[in-house]
Amino acid sequence: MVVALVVVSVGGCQWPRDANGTLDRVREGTIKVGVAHHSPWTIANDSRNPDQAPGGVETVLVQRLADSLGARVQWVPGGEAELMAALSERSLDLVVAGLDAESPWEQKVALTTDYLTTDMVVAIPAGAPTDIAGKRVLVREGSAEAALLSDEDATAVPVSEVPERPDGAAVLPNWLVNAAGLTDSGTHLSSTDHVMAVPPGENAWQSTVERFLLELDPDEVHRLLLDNHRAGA
Amino acid sequence: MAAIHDSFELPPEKAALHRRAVRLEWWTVAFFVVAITVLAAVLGQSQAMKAAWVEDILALAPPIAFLVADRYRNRPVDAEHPYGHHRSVAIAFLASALALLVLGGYILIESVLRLVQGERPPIGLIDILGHTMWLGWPMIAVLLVTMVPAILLGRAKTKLAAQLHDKVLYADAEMNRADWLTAGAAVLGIIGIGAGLWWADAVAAIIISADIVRDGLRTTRTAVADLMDRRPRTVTDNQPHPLPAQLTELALDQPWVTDAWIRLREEGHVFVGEMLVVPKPDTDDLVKRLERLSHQLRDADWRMHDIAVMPVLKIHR
Repeated sequence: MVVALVVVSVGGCQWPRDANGTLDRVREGTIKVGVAHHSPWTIANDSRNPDQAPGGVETVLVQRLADSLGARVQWVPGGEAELMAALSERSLDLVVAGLDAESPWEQKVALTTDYLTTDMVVAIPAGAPTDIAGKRVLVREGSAEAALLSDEDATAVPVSEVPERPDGAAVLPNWLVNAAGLTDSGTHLSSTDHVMAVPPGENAWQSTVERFLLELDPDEVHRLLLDNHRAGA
Repeated sequence: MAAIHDSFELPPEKAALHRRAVRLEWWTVAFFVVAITVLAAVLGQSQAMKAAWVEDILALAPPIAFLVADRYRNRPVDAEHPYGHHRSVAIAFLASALALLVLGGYILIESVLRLVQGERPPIGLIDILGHTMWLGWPMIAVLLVTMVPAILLGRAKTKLAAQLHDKVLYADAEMNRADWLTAGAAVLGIIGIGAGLWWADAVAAIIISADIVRDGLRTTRTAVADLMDRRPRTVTDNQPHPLPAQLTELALDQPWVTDAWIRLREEGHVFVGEMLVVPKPDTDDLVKRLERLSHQLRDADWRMHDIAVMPVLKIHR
C-alpha cells in the first residue's frame, strides 16, 4: 500500500532522486571523472602531457555516457585512494579505475552494479589435455594468480609479461584467450565483477550510470578490451 | 502429605495454552531463520538493511531463551537443586530483556553515528530477470513481507503471555513489536532516500530505536527485580500482584489465626514463599491446621507453588 501511494505521488517525476542534485547538474553540463591507471580498463595520461585525454575501455564508456547526457567530461587523473576520498566528498561525479565489486571502497563511496564479469583462466593450446595438474603454466610475476596456480597443482612459470601468443599453457583473462590462439582449459583462477564508483546518496545519478552500464553489450565491451589491449601493447 | 512440592504441573487449560506458546516460539525461530537468510541475499550496500539483519539475529534470542528454559523449568527437585528449576524462566527473561535493550541501543547508536557523519545511503538499480528496477522497491517489499508475521506472532504472544503469566513470552512479544516497528521505519527511510532525503533513514531509525531502548530498559529492570525477589507484579501492566494480600486475607479468615504475614517471590511463572501465622493460644491440632492452611493457600491460585507455613508467637513488624 505504501509502495502504491508513493508510486502514485511521484508518478512521472524523477525517482529515485539525488540528495545533492548531481544528475541535474551534469546533464548538459560537465561530468568530473576521476581516472586511476588500470590498463586496459583505464590508461591514465602522461603527467607531462596533462591535456591529453586518458584512454582505456572505461574512458570510452564514460565518454559515451556523457554524450548521451549532452555533457562534457572533465578528466581528473590521480591515485585510486585520493580519487575515492574526493568522490566521497562529492568533489568528483564518477571514478573509473577498473574497479572490482569486492572493492573495500564500498564503505566510503557507492559502487555501481557490475557491467561485466571477467575471469582469469588457464588457457591451453587447442587439443591439449584440459587437466593442468603438473603442467608448466606461464603467469605474470607477482600476480595473485601465480599463488592460486599452486592450488591447482600446476607449476607456475613467472614471467614479467605473458607473451602475445604463448606456445604453451598460460594464465590470461577470458577475453584474451581466443586472440592468443589458445582455448579455455576450464580452470578459472579468479573472477572480477567490474564496476564504477559514484558519490554515495546521489541515487538518480547512480541509477543513470547503472542503466547505461546494464544496457551495454558484453561482446562489444570484449571488442573494446581487445582494441585497447592491442593499442597498449 | 507431600510437603515437598517436587514438581509443578500447569492446570489442564493452562497446559494447552503453554503448548500453543511453545509452538508459537518454534514458528518464531523458523520465521527469523528464513528472514535472516532472505535478507542476507538482498543486503546490498544499505546500512539500514544490514541493521535490519542484525535485528533479526537478535530477535532470535527471546524465543531460543524461552525454548531452552522450557526444557528446564519443570525438572523435579533433586539433591543439587533443592528449590527446583523454576528460576530458569527468570534467567531466560533476563536474557530476552537484555537482547531487547541491546537491539534498541545498537540501532540508536548506529543511527546517530550515521546522521552525525552525514552518511548518505546509496541505493541503485537491480536487474531482476531482465527487468531493471530501483533496488529500493524489492528492499521495501522484503521488509513489508517480514513485518506481517512479526505483527501476527507478537499479537498472539501478548495474549498468551498474560494468560500464562509468562514474562519471557511477553518480552518476546515486545521484541516482535520492536522488529516490525524498525522494519516500518526502514521502509520510510528507503522512501526518504528515494526522495533524495539522505537523513530520512537515520532519523526514522532514531525515533523507533529510542522507543525500543525505553522498552528494553523497563523489561531489564523488571527481570533484575524479579531475580532480586521483588514482590510479584502482573505481567502486562506491571502492577503489584493482588495474590499476597488475598492469601493473607485467607489466613486471617481462619478462626484460629490471630495474625498472619506473607512474603512471596516469583520464580519464573510460579510463586513461592513463606507465611508466618500467630495461632490463638491453646489451639488444638495445630500441626493439622497448619497443614490444611498450607493446602488451601496452594489451591488459591494456580501459580502458587510452594509455601512454608510457620507458627510463631508474635510477628514483629
